[in-house]
Amino acid sequence: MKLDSILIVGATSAIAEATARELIGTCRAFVLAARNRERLDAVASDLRSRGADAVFTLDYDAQRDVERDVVADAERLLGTVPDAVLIAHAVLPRHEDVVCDAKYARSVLDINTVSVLVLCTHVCRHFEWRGSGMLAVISSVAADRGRRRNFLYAASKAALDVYLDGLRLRWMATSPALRVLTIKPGYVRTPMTAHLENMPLAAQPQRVGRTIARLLRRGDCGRRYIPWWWRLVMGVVRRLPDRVLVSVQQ
Amino acid sequence: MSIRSWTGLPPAVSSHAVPLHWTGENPFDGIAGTLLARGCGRSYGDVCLPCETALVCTPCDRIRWFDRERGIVRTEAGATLGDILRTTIPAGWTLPVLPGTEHVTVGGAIANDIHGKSHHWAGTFGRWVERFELIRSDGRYLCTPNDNAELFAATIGGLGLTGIVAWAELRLVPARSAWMATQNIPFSSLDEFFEIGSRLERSAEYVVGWCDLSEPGSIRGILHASSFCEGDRRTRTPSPRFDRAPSLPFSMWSRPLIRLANAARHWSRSQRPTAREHYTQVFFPLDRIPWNRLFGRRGFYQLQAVVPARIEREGIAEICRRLWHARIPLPLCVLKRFGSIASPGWLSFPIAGTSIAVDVPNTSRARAALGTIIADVARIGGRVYPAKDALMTAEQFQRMYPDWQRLDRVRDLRCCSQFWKRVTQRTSQ
Ligand SMILES: Cc1cc2nc3c(=O)[nH]c(=O)nc-3n(C[C@H](O)[C@H](O)[C@H](O)COP(=O)(O)OP(=O)(O)OC[C@H]3O[C@@H](n4cnc5c(N)ncnc54)[C@H](O)[C@@H]3O)c2cc1C
Ligand SMILES: NC(=O)c1ccc[n+]([C@@H]2O[C@H](COP(=O)([O-])OP(=O)(O)OC[C@H]3O[C@@H](n4cnc5c(N)ncnc54)[C@H](OP(=O)(O)O)[C@@H]3O)[C@@H](O)[C@H]2O)c1
Repeated sequence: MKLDSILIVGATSAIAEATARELIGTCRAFVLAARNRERLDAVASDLRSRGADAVFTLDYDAQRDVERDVVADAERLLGTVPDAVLIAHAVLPRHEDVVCDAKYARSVLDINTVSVLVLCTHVCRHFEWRGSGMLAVISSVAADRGRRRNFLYAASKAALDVYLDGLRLRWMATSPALRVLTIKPGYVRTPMTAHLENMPLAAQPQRVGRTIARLLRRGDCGRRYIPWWWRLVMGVVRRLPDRVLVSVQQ
Repeated sequence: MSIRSWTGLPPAVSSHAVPLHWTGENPFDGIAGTLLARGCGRSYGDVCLPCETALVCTPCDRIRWFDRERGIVRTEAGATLGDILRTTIPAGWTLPVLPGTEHVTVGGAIANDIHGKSHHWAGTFGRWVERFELIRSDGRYLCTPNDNAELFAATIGGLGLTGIVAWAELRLVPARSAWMATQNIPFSSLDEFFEIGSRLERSAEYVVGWCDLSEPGSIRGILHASSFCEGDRRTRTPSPRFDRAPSLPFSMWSRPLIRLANAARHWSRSQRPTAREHYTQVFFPLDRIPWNRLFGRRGFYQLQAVVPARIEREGIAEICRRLWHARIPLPLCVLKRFGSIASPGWLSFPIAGTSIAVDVPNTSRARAALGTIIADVARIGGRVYPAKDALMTAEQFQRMYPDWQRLDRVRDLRCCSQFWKRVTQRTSQ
């Protein structure tokens, strides 16, 4: 698969940043979209210093710019629709804050789910028009089963999994040049999880980024757990009866 | 969380570890009590052990700017030197001062004002720092030799006590390729070491002496002299960090084994008087193995001491005599001459003279021997390297580093390390 250019939404996320670094040398051009200008500039100049040919930046706030066609913006910068789109932004709400605060719950869904799925429809339109492209979205292992804590986050990601499953089937039936990758990392040590004290089996963002970059280069299609053995772990967790899972604090 | 030094000594402390992800944040706002910046934890003693909270700076590893024409790089303080080289070597530049491992951060290199095999022409790391931004509990300071000059000088070799270095701008020197031409020249006495060493320093860029002390009374070894040569500029992927590798239950080092290993090494190197090696092989040979885990759960000490030039021969010979007398296993011993280039920091370790570094498994006999050596070194006006120390007394430290009170005055009171607590607990006067 051609991977000359990529649009990364939520480019200041630690996982996205690690992925982008790994793609230097593969991708010629990067379009980075994120909401914090200062951080975005830091990430962009890092990629440039490390040898990326062309790096463009876009301001994008998932709450404010929900319906914006960021792919078209990227096309304007690149002169062509990017070969791949990686969507990485999300928030991990603190469980206590979310259970009884409707407004906050809504903002979580807006960022993690609504903005992502709306973006996916833009990607879908542009890619189908051209007949090729790779869409990669960072979901989570959490989406596989709601647990006592943070089930809103799990639900917000589960919606992505289901949507992407459907889109994958649609594209599989249309053209082999259209690919959908659902990325499901386990615990990763990033700003999002900095407040969590207990993170079993946590990985470093560099390792996750390396794997994502490899999957993108290969043009991989499907649900991918990172590291891969989370597939087994979640296989077990999915099958646990409620009365067992209720005793798990996490 | 348990926080450990490279050697496991002094014993690991249990404290909070808070990551710093963006240099724009002020970590002092969100953390109560004192904190200590932490890089890769490659220091051999308690300079990298916090009193309360460790602020882990490694996520801040972005390269902000790289001037390929003039050879200047501006990076966040958590970037490792190995990582920077992977960017600069392909463009024909190298960092002039490199330690024996690639997993050292820019912040750690500044805080200990590290030195390398290039001391005879490059001096210490701090001499190549153009400017940096320092985050203190009362604000941010841009420090250069002219602006906030006092903070600039205090932070170089400042042991992380003056605040958090956010980013730094470093000057580079040209490197023709990723490859180096190395000469391996045997020596069989201290006199030979000095004689051959000073000759090599006139022509080679990087010089260091590996030394075999396993036979009491005999000092022999190999001087390695390397310079960048022609070749391709391909870099190599980072070596594993082995941060969570398990320790052997006991130290694997016994004196007969060391004698054997040293003989093998001496022989194989003397067979190869010249070699062409990748820069990673020249600079970071220990990175391929979890060296610190071979010393068992009790950990090990490294003693690195410098003897002033005017008495270097007798001084080094005396240290060797003490080591032999103690009959302790010495799996690694490195000799390095320091040139006369002055170190920029108030508490920088290098002074003109010769430095000896030995790794010793932790036993009571080793502690006693190192203790007497440190006392000797203090007496003759030499110094022990804080980055590699776990044994100095407060009195000895204060004698070796008379400027310590100056640092204590500009120290950020919200920064503290176990080392500083240990060596400043009571004054000598
Ligand atoms: C195999 C090996 C070989 C070595 N060879 C050499 C050598 O040849 N020459 C030499 O000089 N040293 C050598 N060292 C020692 C090493 O270079 C120093 O201990 C170095 O400071 C370690 O850097 P670090 O990033 O691991 O920092 P740490 O060990 O984590 O911390 C060291 C100090 O730096 C401070 N610090 C870290 N980050 C920041 C920041 N952002 N702002 C302010 N302060 C900060 C800490 O507070 C602490 O005081 C070697 C070490 C090893 C393990
Ligand atoms: N860390 C884990 O353990 C883990 C596990 C599984 C899946 N994931 C997923 O991995 C992805 C990357 O997360 P990460 O771990 O790398 O954490 P991160 O570094 O905290 O990244 C989260 C990113 O989302 C951005 N973001 C938040 N709200 C936004 C908004 N309204 N508009 C635009 N951007 C917004 C943040 O931007 P700012 O920098 O501006 O705040 C930040 O860049 C996420 O989708 C996350 O759900 C993470």
